[in-house]
Amino acid sequence: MIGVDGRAFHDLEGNLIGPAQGLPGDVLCFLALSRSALEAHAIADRLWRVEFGLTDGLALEDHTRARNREAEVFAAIARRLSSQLRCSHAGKTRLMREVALLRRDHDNMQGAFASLEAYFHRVVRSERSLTMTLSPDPGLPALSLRPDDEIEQRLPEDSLGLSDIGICLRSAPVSGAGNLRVTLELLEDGEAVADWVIPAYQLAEGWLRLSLARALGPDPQTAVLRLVWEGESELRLMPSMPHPDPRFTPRFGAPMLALRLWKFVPGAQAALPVDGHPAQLAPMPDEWNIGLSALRRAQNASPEPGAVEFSDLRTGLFVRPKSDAVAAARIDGAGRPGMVHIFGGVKTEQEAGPEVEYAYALAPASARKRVASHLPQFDQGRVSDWLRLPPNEWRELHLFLDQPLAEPHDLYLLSRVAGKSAAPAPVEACFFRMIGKTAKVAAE
Amino acid sequence: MSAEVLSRDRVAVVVPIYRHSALLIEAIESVLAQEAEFGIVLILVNDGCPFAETEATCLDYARVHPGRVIYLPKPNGGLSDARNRGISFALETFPEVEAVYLLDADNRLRPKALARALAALEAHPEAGWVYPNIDMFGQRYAGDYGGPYSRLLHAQMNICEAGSLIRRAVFEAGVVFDTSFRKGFEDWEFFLSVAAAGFTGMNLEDFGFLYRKRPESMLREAEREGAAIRLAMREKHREAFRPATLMRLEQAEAPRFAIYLSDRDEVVLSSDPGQETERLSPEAFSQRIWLSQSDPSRHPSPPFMVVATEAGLEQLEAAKMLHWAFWALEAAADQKGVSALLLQPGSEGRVSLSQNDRPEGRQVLANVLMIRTVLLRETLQDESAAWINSLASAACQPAIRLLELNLPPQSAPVAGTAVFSFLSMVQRLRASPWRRGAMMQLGWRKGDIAIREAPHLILRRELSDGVAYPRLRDGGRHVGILLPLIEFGGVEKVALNFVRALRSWGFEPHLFVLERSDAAISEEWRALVGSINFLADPAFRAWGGGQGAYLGTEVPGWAQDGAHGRLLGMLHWLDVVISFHGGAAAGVMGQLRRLGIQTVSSLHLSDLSAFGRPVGNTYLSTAYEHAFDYFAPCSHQLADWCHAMGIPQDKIVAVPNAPSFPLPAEIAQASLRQRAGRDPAEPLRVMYLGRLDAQKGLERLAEVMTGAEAPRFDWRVIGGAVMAGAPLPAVVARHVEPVLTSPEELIAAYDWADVLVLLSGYEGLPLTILEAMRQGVVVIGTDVGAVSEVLHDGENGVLLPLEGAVRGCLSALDRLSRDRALLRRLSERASADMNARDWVEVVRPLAQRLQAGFKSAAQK
Repeated sequence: MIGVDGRAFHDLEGNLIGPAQGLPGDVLCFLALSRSALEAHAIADRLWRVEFGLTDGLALEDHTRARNREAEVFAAIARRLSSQLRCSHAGKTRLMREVALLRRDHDNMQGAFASLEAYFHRVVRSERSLTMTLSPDPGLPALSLRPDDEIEQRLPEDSLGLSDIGICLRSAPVSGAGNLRVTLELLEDGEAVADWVIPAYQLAEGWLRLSLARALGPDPQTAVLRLVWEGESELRLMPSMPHPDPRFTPRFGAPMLALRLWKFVPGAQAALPVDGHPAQLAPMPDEWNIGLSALRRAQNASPEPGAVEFSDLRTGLFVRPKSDAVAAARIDGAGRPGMVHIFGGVKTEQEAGPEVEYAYALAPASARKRVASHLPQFDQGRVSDWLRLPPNEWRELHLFLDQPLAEPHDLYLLSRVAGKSAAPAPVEACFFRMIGKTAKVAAE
Repeated sequence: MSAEVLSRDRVAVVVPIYRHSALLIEAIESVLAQEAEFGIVLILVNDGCPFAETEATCLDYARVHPGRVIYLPKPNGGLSDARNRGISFALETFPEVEAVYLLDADNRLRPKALARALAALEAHPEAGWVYPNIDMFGQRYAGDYGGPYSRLLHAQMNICEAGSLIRRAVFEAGVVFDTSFRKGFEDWEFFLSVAAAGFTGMNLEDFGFLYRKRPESMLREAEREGAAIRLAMREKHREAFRPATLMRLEQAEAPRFAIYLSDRDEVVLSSDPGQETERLSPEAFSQRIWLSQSDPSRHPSPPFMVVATEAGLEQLEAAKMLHWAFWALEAAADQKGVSALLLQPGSEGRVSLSQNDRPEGRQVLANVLMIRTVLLRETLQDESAAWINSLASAACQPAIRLLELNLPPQSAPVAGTAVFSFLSMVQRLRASPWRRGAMMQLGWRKGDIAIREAPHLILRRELSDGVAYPRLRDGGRHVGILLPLIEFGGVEKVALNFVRALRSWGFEPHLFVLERSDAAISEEWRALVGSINFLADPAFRAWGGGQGAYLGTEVPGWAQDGAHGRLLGMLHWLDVVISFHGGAAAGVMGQLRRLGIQTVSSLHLSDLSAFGRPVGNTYLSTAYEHAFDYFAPCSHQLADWCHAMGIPQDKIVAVPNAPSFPLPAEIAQASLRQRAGRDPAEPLRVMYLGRLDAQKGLERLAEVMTGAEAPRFDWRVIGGAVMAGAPLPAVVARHVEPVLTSPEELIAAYDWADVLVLLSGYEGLPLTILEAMRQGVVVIGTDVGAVSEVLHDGENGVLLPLEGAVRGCLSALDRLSRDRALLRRLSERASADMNARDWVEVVRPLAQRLQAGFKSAAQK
């Protein structure tokens, strides 16, 4: 700064840098080399205090009596620059210390969170919880998407911990060509957080579950699902109910889509559900959760009616044998291509009774029997050993495969009364959540 | 800083900083991280922050981002001052800046916030500013401030966060932050000023604004100081809080009633049943109701649903009771949830009201039904409709109040179908396709504008929580005429003449009956007033129940501690209120004045206590002198009394009584001619005409009648009792004829009489004397009240001292009977004296004062 003109300050080029442009950031001090400069400083200093409210005022270097003016001026500048540098270094080291502290805290927090994740995973098998269902209403006309149609469905819950979204198809598209593109966007950030591209041939009647590898973070936002149909024939989606607020309807006057939403610990990774479609560009998961929703849709594959029943109380699936004849439940498509290992808990949920044997088996979905109660012939290496358990004892059951599954398989949960003895009543044999591992992890 | 850089800056962000030296970094970084296709200049205003770190941080950023970050330190002046400094700096220095965003130093923005907000301003040129929803971090919370911007709601609550993008034009219109608001709510005050300058706001749902919420904040502090700050705000924005303004805004933005006209199958939305904000089909109304159910904070719906027929409403309009009916129904629905109005034929010349909380089936005949929308919505959510359907039965389950209004037979009300029409509408609403979806709460933010569900309460709060009479100001000059009752008394006659005269001076009078719910409202009343209203407050008593006295007159209990809201709510829309011996109504006059209504006390006479001490409305009015703009005594004598009792002369506008009905000149002359032609041998025709109660000196009349009998005297006694009292003396009772109400009957009666006898114990200035004199009837009256102002003994009648009045009256009758020339002389002079006395003229000074009051208020 070299000039003072009334209330204005000018830089070396004569540009205004006074109060009208804010406080000049590069002022070092006021160098006074003459008596008139001292007067100018007095004016500048007053303005400094009045305009900017700075109690320290404008620092003065008084060199009016300097004998070796040039040397003293340079020395003064050097002194002040050096002082500023010291301050700057002090500030920098303080910030580095704070960063170090934050990093340490961050490491600790991450470690604790990882332990929590592991514990959670161990205890509940990373089950994503279904938080909302807008059930399909078959009485309403389906929402039809013609080729290149695009619709937007705002999700009825916030994004906090959102992990999966289910939409429901009234029917598979007639033509198997093309894709359904789905994008999940967060409105406030204005960003897409996940994309799915589902080939038309994979689209079937019923629920289509779109899964995120990691649940969305703790910053709640408005989530919107954008669907673009790039197929050749019409795609028909199931509606749930009309809603008077157009923000929640995919099209003007149309009902909301049938939806299911799952949530998990915000920002945490959880095994993908076995029926979930992973998002594009997300790392391919090495674990798949054959969890409650899979157990809930299990079908009885035994001749004995009523042998298979999901229990909310036990959060498990009863597959009740009555004799050494095998009782069986089938979970369609639970064996995903690439799987090499399936394991999960089993237990006979009664205090006393016969010992029960448990096993898993896999059979290609393409070879599924028409009659659900008939068991297929299981290929060698696709059936686990029978695990024999006394009543009321929990154990983990494993099925290791020699080769990764090459195509979708149905998973069979098998139980029988051990030995040749028959039980007077069906035995409470119970299967719990399972994990299916893919080849990559198994190889490690 | 190059001009090229400046030219791209379309938005300036002003960050005032005081004590947030560390958190400031997040605010700055969030601005620097904005993803926008235009330049954003960040102005850091250091409001004299005592922490050196603030300056260091600001300087660092200013150095690193020259031209993009400006550092403006200033002496401490408070948040408003700091914002003003930054804003004026931005506007002066960056002429191309189109809008200013205000970011507090501890808050943050999401990366696309400013791009989205500026796009919203571009897309909505009608919006002066864009305000966000409030997504809090720290203490997590998400508040939804969505829905249409409403100035009405804004008067009640702070719906616009300071973190708004504000168009340059707003500041160029001269709106700035008020630096006197240093303890908070300065943003509320600011946006009220913006709205007052003619701008409107717009909520941007997904703005991307993040508000740091800590347990202790300036907002919390402001809430503690809330009452004082709100008071200051009301002082500054008086216009915004005036009932007339709120009513206008309510009509435009949040109409109070959804009126289903079953005969037209349409729904009219309005706060004033005589106006219309919007007209909907039942289907559109259904969507509106369900939309509101899905998110009442965001989607408005009228807080009351009314079912009627257009014909029924026209009938109420013709009876001049349409607005009152809505007001009374709203008050009843407030208490019961459901109210209904049944119109019935009543007696000739009377209007009466009864209220019934156990109608036992009579409600099915109701012409109008009103239900609170909150209750309607609960009903619609019910699995079964049995509860609400019982409205159509004697075993009605919903609490209901039935108002039964008896109108004169010529109104010919027909049985209504409101209940059945309502139930039919309920069925339609229940069958709506929106029902299932609307019952789910889908938004994830909490609706924070709860008042949107009850916008009618905003106006009520200005009226001591009274139900606001649903009538918009229409530019006319509306005068409320307050009477405790209406029968055939002198005060009522004076009031009626006031009404007639006020009309001729350009006012529109409205009748308010305060204490009774059964009134003699003649065809003449109905023709002259704009509306007829009953207060119908069982707690209201014009007199009695008081704990103290003023100058020996009991101050009525209701005036002191009654629930004034009901009356205040009924009168808020008027320009002038005149109390005609309204007693306890004096208790609300001060509040009416504060609303800008001119208040007048019309005074007639002092009553007498049991021991003859003057008491009553005259004294009560002096107790409430401060609450009245004007006092209108009915005589000059009473005007002098008022001044003597301490009422400022400038407030006293005498309106001396005049005959209560017009008398065409030809009839007056014919009357005098036939009187002059009477045979002196005929008996002297003597008449008493007036109310038959003790005040009128009936005992003295009886003595006179006994002493002056036929054949020399022919008597007529005409009148009825207004107040219960002792039985009539036998001689009086023998002559009593029914009350005369029409001018024609009165003219005939005065035509008949030679002499009128009125020996009252106390009086104001009786109309009977004035009317009798005008037709040449010689009045023999006692010297009470202001009678001597018109009756001059021996000149135009006979004025007797009260003591010895009987003897004097008998003597005068004897003299007049014998000396018919004297009778004629007095008669002619009386007629001449009264001829020029006319209500329009006597009311003129008061009318002029009221007009001057309007001008003065307008100038203010």
